Amino acid sequence: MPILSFEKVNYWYGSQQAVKDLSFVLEEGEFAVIIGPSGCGKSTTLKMVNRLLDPTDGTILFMGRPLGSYDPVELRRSMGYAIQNVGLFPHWTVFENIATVPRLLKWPAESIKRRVLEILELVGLAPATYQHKYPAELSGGEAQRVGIARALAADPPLLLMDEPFGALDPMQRSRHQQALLDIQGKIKKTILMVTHDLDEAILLADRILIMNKGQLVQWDTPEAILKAPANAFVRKFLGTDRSLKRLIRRTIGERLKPAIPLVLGTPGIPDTDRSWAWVVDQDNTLKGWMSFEATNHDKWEDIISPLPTAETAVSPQTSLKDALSIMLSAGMKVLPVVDPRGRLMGEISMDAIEDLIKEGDPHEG
Amino acid sequence: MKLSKILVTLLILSATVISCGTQKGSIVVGSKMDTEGALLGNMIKLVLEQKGYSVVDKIQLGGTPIVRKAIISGEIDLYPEYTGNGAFFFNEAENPVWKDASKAYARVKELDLAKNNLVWLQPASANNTWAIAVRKDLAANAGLKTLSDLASYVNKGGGFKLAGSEEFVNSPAALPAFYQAYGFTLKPEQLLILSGGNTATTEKAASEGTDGVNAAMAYGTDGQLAAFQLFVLEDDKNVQPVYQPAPVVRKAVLEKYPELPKLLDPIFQKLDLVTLQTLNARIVVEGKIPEDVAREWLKAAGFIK
Amino acid sequence: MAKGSRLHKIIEGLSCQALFCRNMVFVISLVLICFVFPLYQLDPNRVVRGDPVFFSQLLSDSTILFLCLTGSFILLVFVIGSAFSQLISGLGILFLWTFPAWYWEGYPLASGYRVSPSIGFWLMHLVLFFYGVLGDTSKRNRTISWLVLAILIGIAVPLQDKSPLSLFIELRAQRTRLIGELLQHLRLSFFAFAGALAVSVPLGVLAAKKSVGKGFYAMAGILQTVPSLALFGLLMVPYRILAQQVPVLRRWGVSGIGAAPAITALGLYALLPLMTGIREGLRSVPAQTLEAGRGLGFSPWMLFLKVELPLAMPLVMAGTRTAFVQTLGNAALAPLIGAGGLGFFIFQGIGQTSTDMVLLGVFPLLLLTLGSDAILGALQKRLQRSLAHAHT
Repeated sequence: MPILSFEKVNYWYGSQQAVKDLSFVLEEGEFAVIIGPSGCGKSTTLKMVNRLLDPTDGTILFMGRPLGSYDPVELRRSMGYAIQNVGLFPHWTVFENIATVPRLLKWPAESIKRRVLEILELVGLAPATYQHKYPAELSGGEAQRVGIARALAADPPLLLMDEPFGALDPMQRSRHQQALLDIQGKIKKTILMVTHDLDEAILLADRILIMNKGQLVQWDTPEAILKAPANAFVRKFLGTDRSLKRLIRRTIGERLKPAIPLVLGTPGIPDTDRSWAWVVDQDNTLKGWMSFEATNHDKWEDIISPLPTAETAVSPQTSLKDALSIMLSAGMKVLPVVDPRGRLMGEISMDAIEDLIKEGDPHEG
Repeated sequence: MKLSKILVTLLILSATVISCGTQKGSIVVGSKMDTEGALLGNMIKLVLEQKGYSVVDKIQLGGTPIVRKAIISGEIDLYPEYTGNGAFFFNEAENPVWKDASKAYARVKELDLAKNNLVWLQPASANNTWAIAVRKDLAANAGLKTLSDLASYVNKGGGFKLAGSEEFVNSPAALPAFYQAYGFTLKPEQLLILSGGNTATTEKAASEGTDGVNAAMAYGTDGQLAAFQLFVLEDDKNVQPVYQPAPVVRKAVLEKYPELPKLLDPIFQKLDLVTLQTLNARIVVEGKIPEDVAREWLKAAGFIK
Repeated sequence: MAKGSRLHKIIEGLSCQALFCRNMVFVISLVLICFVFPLYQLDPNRVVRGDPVFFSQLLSDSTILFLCLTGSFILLVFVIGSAFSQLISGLGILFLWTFPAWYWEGYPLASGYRVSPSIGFWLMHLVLFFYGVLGDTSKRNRTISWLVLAILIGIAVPLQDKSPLSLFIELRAQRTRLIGELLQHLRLSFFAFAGALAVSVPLGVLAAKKSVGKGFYAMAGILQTVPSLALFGLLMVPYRILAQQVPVLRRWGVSGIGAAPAITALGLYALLPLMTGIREGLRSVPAQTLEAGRGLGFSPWMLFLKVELPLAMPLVMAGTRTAFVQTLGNAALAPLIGAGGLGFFIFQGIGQTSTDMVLLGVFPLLLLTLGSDAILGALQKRLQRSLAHAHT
């Protein structure tokens, strides 16, 4: 059963129409992101889900029943709500903030305590340190995490997020996005999030809902949208670098190719048609690379060239977009891929990335 | 909703607590805020209590306008007022009748009964009117006994400085009336005008010789005159209206308790100028409370046990 | 480190010098006042001023006694003055008030005579007060000072019942009346404040949330500009008419004079600070917090009670404090319309040129206003501290 379904929903702000004929269905476990230019109606749409606003007409079904059949206050208690400025209650501790909805639902004290500690762990905040702190003592990032914990505390079937990472600096933002992905990986919630950051949407969403002037323009997976934008607006919205954007979600691991290294201590040149090879030691730990042309030396160690920078040894989890960027800045067409211990796993080449992009990139038309 | 009901009940209850309402068999006695008002009001109250009335004490209620409004509207039943005030209540300041004691009393009695249903009982003989009091040493040295003496003294250029209120100095019924009747005037440097009609302040100024003051505006029965070593000059030409204190009762209350005049007349008959001055002095100079002073005197005079 | 400790010693030395200087200034000013101004006056009665009593007279009368007293006081100042400045200050003030009872006991003071405070008396109070207030003492020392003073006051008070100090004579004479008027003052203030609170809470909330409220708020503001005395007088008329038309109200004591118009006037004055406190308090709650609360599933009433109101409290308390203290002060005018209260003594005292009577009204009033301001202030601070984490 779909968790949420919009059927021809309209919203008028007086004489202005903010949402027009919106219809979509959100399945259980899906992470959907609504995105669009400012004023496109995305926040309005979100607010209609928990009845902070009521649609002018159309039907919204939650868990199969129309929203109108729920008592608004009780409805909201079964939806998590996280907003941009978090809105933590300053006069309550972190514990009491997170316990808000469970308390409203009259959970027994023991369960509340257990759940709060559990959810703090989930969002990456050590309970012992954080549970008795007050919101004013938290940094922006920590506060945002508490906000998410608070939204998830009562284990609601649906989580609503309105530009939750908008107020964070870029470094915090990417950390939080990653953290959210991790959480989602663990608990597989149904999430409906609004953002204005396209990269964020591409990274996080299972499906993206692009809106413009109150109307749904495209509702599909990021890959599908990037490969085949529905119209000129979407193309423009995605930007001319949309091919690169497709690389955001792809990791090196998908296009990893085995590499044949030169092992120190073993005689002979590896069987490869290249004029160079990666150099590893007996443990397969990457030491650098070597060109075959200079072989008239006694010691191999003298002619091993180190990698230009440490970051050129990439991990399989690194996105292809970052890999490409590293290749361009290091001036290398191939990068070694290592595990956390620095052992060579394989390599990734610019050609491989190029092939991927070419797969199904239609002609500009 | 509950909270507001409780609050309303509390407010009503408190209003009851704050001021008792009039019940049958009781009488509300009021008075003006000043010393003499307190004294006379307490005398009335103590005598009535002795005779078995339950007296509601509204003594020292406020200034003349307030107390007057109170009796006319029936909030108090009885209070001591001055006969001369009839001139202002009924707007007849020019009428010469107020300068004669018995005529003044008759006039105010007639008017108040007709217009306000208020009955004036027998007045005291003391005249608590505006007067000029001079330092005893000045009176002795310059041989001043009456205002006529003062007039000739001033006209001869004698050293004189009078402390008075705005009203006293400027009201046609006060100092200007003296000027006219006795044929003298005071130059601005011979006057010290203190705002607020307070004879206590003016008398204190004369007694201490502040700013060269050697005379003060005074009321006839002021208690502190003796203590301040001041001598009241006789108004030999009867310029000022007569202010004799008398109890004023609402007609309805008098009809309910017709024995009131029998109780109060004898008391007021005994209150002459010297008696009132002495009693007032006990309150102001010695610091006794008006009720105690009233009680002591009533006991000594045999009105109460 | 050698350097550090030397610097430390210099700083300590400097502050020691500063303290020593302060004590010197204190003692010197007290001595100066003693010799230049009369401390007391021997008045023959309540209204006539009498002969001044100078410190030099006291010295010549009982030289050894006063030299010892002065000497020990100075010693005390330099030994414990810095640490216990409140104690020194309190001791000085206590001594000034209890001295007449002690020194003139058994003196053949003619009847009616009284010892009244003179210029020197009040000037010394000023110096003592500043010394006590400006003293930089630890909380522990302050508590000790107050405890000792409390004990001393407890011992001294019963010994004052025959004191010839004019203020005490006046107090003894007026004791019953004073208590009566004090209670009346409290009654008037309490009911006015309670009434104002009851009205201003809904109106204040309205003012914060809806435009209708703005009208009420503006009206409260206009009321404030009417001089208190005028408002008291103005209210007499409608109440008189009301009492005449509705006799049952008269039975309950509502009339044109007395408590009813006084309480109403006091209440109307209290409206503005109360409404301001409530309005600003509610406004100070961040909108995001309320939106988050709504979105999480607070019902409107619970949101108000559990989130909005607690966060508004600091400013609400500030308004409440102002309103309460102001009401106490304004009630001093009540006797002018026959409502009684501590102002009675102030006006009677003026009418009889008796400073003592005026003070009899002023001191309790000061105690009430300063006391309630201090208590409410402490409450407010406590509230703010527990919400200190609030208002990011």
